[in-house]
Amino acid sequence: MITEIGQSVLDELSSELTENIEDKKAVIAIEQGSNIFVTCVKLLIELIHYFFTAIGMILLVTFAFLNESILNGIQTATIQSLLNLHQTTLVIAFVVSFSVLFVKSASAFRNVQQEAEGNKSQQIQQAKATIELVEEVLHRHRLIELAGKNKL
Amino acid sequence: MNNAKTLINTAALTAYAKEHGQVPAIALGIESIEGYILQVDLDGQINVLSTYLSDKPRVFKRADALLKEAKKMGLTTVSFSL
Repeated sequence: MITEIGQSVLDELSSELTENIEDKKAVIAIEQGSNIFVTCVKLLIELIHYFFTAIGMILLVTFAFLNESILNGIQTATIQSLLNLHQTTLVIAFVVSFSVLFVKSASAFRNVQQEAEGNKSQQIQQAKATIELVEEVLHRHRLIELAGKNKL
Repeated sequence: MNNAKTLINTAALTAYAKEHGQVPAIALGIESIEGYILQVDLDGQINVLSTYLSDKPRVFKRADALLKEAKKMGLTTVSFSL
């Protein structure tokens, strides 16, 4: 329950916050651009990290299951087939690291405009709760009348 | 003549404009803070539009934002004084 005056104060707050966001449009655009750049650099570094981790994992798994027949196979294999194996390993490592990165990148980019809008609505919700509380106190002290209050 | 300015909030100014019709308003450019304040003459008393907390003058960084708010409050004319 909120009075007409309380609602008017909330509307004024909302209008001022919207105006603030509009005023900071250029700053938000710069922040968004720098965020995209920084995130891309971070993701590139992570891609390299995941790529080498994937190669390491493939080598470890190969080493764990290494036996005589595999070693014989390697000895008798042609250079071309070894090069193909090497290339396949790199492709697998790249696909795995890229897939992990793709999943991670979904939440890596920040939408600065959306964050500003979110902060605005959060601030309005907090102000609304405060106004409702203040009005409830004033009502219990019989300092204001709330229309529709206590009517069941 | 009393030259002291008082603060008026949006709701009160809207109510005044609704009741009295045309209210002359002046947007005063403030160089030090790069913005405008909205000043209205209500029955000989100079009033400055306040923020939602009614504790300080509301500063508009952009003229279009000021005009939008003025229109919302029912003001018909706003003169700019730079």
